[in-house]
Amino acid sequence: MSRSHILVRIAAVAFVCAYFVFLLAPIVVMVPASFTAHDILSFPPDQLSMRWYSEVLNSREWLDSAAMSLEIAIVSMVIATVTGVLVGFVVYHYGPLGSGLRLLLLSPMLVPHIVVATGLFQVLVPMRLLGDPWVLAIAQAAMALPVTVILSIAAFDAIERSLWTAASTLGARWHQITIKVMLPIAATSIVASLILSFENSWHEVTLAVFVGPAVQATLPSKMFSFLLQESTPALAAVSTLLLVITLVCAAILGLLSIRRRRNEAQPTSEEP
Amino acid sequence: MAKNSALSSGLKYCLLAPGLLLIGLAIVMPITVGFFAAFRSNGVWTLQNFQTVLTQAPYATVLVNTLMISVVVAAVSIGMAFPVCMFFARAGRIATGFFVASMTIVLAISMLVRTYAWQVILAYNGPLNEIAIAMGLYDQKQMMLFTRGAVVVAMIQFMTPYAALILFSAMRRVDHDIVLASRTLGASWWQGFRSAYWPQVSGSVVLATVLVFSMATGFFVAPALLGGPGEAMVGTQIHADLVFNYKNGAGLATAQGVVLAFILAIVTVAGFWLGGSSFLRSASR
Repeated sequence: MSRSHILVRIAAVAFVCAYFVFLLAPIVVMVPASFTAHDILSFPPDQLSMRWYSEVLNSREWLDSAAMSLEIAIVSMVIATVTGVLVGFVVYHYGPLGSGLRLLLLSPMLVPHIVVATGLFQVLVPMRLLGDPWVLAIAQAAMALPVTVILSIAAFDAIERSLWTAASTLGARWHQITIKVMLPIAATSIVASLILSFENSWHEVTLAVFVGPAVQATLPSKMFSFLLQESTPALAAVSTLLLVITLVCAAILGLLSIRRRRNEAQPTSEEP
Repeated sequence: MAKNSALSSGLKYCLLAPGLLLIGLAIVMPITVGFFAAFRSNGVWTLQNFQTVLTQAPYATVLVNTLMISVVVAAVSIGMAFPVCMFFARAGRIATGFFVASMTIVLAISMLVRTYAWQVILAYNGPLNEIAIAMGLYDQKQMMLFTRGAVVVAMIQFMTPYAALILFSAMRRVDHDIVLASRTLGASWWQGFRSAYWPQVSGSVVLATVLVFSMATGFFVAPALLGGPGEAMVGTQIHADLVFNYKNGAGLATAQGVVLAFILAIVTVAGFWLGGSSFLRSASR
């Protein structure tokens, strides 16, 4: 290896390390700072305590907000995943979707949240539905739809068509085939859809702030107002808790995707 | 794909109905209503909103700010991600898996959490100030928060993993034999890069740029929390209009939305034109 080659290599590694530091630094700083005993944020924290965690976890406001976020996220997750799976069924039975249909279903990816939020605001005000949690859940489900649809299509497309024929020849009705054969095969994609659409709603800020409930705000919305008005380390505690939840979900997803990759190598080796 | 003749085609539309209904209600209807609302002001059909948004302060300034910030964010996000992706694109399975996993995990972290983390780092008594003073860069503590730099840096940190994932998946598909061939024919590293490597990835670079730019224009959390009044972007302006301006806010807000969508459409078309067929290929994947 020539000398310049080695120098380039070192520079490349250094740049990559700097990149990762840049991406992770804020989180690395925030987590220890949440354990500070003081009234304001300081890093590095010289006195450690769990006081902000106990304040947050005992606070009616934060817990209600988390509960609201949870409810909306669960509803949104169910709507998005079920709708996505239905699209998967269509692809399985009727072949690939036309490009127009595909564009329509994937359109939420192309539209900025803020444009949707603005229009939705317009629609909801005369209907007096501004701030309705169900509306937010539906809107967030729509934003998550591209993800569930893509996952669903990928999963159902990989299932052999002859499986349906074989099962019905053996006497199974369509609902039995669907529940006992197709859903289990697509299970990992379905669970991934559930997790991703949950995460999408749980973290979603724009729609929540613009058209979401205001008095009993979702967690991101509440964090936003909180950050605008005051900034105690309580927010660091909330952020760290959210981070832990995110990492757990990411770990589950990671394990699932490993399992899915293994399954896709042998799509029909699963016993129903 | 064989169609299953046991099921009618009427059933197809029943199964698709929830999805189409969802999109119709949550995307198509709001956008359409918003579009028409932009043309109404004080109860009459007019172009007044657009004139205000494009020419008067603070709207015009906000729009220009937004575009400038978004361009910088897009350029730097992708500029930073490009070498890193090149580095990992040829790495072994473990390194590759680690890279994709870490990008995905960073993306999964809520934007609010990350924005707040920047508040912690850039604070007056925060670690960055302390490090800078210790290194002798500054004599005294600087006000790093509520500046344009803070907003730009936070937005770059948010966007660059998206760019990295898009670029990475394209770079994995690069045919390195072509680059090798160019080298054996006497091309220097730069010539080989320009003629053999770049055309293969240019489509996704353009796609990543368009995507990051689109996301950046719609941002409102970072400018609101990390920026000063001079950093107001379209997102914060729309929010202020909708919430505080009862009479005309809706028209102005939707007009800004329309202008934004129009700009994004132009940028996307420019992307098609610049990136050519490889852009279409990346976009449809």
